[in-house]
Amino acid sequence: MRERGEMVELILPATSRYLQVARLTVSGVASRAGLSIDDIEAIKLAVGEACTNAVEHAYASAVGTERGEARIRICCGVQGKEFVVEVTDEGAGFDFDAVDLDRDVPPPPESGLGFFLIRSSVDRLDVDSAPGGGTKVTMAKRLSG
Amino acid sequence: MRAAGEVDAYNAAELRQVLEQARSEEGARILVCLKQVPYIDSTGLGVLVGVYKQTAESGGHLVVCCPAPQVRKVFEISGVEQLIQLHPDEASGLAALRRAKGGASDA
Repeated sequence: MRERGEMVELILPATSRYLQVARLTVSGVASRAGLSIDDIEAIKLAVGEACTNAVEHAYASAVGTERGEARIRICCGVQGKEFVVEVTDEGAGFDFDAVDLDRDVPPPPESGLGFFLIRSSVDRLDVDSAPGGGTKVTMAKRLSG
Repeated sequence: MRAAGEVDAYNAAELRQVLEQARSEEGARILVCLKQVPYIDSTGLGVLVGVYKQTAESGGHLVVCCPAPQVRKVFEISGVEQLIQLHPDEASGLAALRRAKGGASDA
C-alpha cells in the first residue's frame, strides 16, 4: 500500500479472503478524510460490492488468467469535493449498459443486486468496462462542508 | 442461530451450510440473530433469501432479529426487508415464529 499524492493505492489478490481488507482499508482512509459514520458505512458497502464483483465474476470467467496472479487495484482519497474510490480489475469485463440500474424495485440478490447497492450508496458511479477488457468502477461520495 | 462477524463472499457459504442444516427438518422455524454482525453484503443477503424461500417451501419459517442499524439499512435498500421479517430483539422474533403457520411471511 502506498500514498499517491492524496490518494492511497492498494493492490490485493483477487480472492474473497481479502474483501474485508479492502473494506477496512478504504473505511480507514475515509475516516481520515473526515467522512461521517453513515458515509463511511455507505462507502464500505459500495467498495465491498465492487470488489466482490471483481472476485466473483471478472476473474471467474477470464480466459488465460491464473487465479493466483489475478489482482484488484483499489485507489481512494479526496479529489476536489469528493471522496473517490476506484476499483480496477483486469478480468473478463462486461457490458455495463446491460445492467438495469434505473429500476425502482431492487433486483434479486442473485442478479445484479451488487451494483444496485453501490448506486444506492454513493453520489456518483462510473463504470468503464468492456467484454475482455477489464473493469474500472469509480465511486464517489460528496464531502460535506 | 447466532451469526457473528462480517458476512461476505468469503464466509457466506459457511452461513449457508449452518442454515441449510437448521432448515433440513420439515416445517423448521429459524430465528437468525444478527446482533453480532456489523456488515452484510449482497452475497450474505442472497444466502438468507435463498434459505428463506426453501424454508417457506417446506412449510417452515425464517425471521431475522437484532440487526445493527447499518445492516438494517442494507436490508432496506435491497428490498429484502419486504420479504424477510426483521425484528428488533429475540423475544419479538421468537413470538413471530410461534405465530407463524409456515409458508409465506405474515409481515
